[in-house]
Amino acid sequence: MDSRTEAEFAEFMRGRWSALVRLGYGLTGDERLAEDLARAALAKAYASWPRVLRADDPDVYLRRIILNASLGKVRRRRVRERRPGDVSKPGTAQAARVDHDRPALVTALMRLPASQRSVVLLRYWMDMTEAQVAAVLGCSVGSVRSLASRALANLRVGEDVAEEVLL
Amino acid sequence: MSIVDERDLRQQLVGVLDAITPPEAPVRAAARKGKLIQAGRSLGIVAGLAVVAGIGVGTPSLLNRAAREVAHARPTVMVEQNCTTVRLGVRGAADRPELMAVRAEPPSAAKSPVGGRPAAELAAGGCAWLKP
Repeated sequence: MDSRTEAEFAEFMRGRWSALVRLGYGLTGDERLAEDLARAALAKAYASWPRVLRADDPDVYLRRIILNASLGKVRRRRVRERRPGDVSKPGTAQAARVDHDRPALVTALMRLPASQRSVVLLRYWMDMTEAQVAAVLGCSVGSVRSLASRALANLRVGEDVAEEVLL
Repeated sequence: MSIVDERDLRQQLVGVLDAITPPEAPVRAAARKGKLIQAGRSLGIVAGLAVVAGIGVGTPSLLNRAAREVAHARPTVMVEQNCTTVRLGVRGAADRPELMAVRAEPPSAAKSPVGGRPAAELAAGGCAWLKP
């Protein structure tokens, strides 16, 4: 990459960094992990810069990278958490503190399957159309619609369960 | 937390996620990692080409070696001149199954000498016994 392209990439990265970190936080519920994800996604974008520029919408490309990376990261984190003797496994004091520090909505999002969580974030937070979400996720518009409605239903059920526990 | 409808969910998401204030974009770190990814890809391509080249060079020589081994394992052929008792083709001898009688035919015989004797001799009506 020459200095002009480097500058182009730096500008591209600065413009998207905050949104990517926030998307990463919505996907993982962990700020540090979100920053890692955003950095890794941008590093991949750097490595495939000509392809990113050739893409019709570089943001779609970038979001797809971060969604795929988040699936891998979350999967690896779950495997790590299941390891015996690990202090951060679910149900331990540390895991409970992380859950407690999170806003209730993020905790509820973390209970959703990854595909539903992605649809919620892209559709309702990023305000993307169903067709745009379908393009990012590589599925049909019908699937997006059904994932969104199931996610909403699950969020409502989750909230009912939480209220029952409190009572 | 309570979610009334899609609009409500949208507002709550904006409230929670926009409250996050990320640190400054680590452009240099991302570029460094990107360069590592690029280097890894190039290395992978070079390694892949090396494997393909290795297979391309190695396979024919292995096949040649195998073919040479098969050629060396040829049975000895004993030729008797002016044999008229054997018909065209290959037959097993009833009393000595380890022997095979061969009557050479001119076209194939002209191509390959059998057991060190010129094929022309066989073509003239000789018989050949394959001795395993």
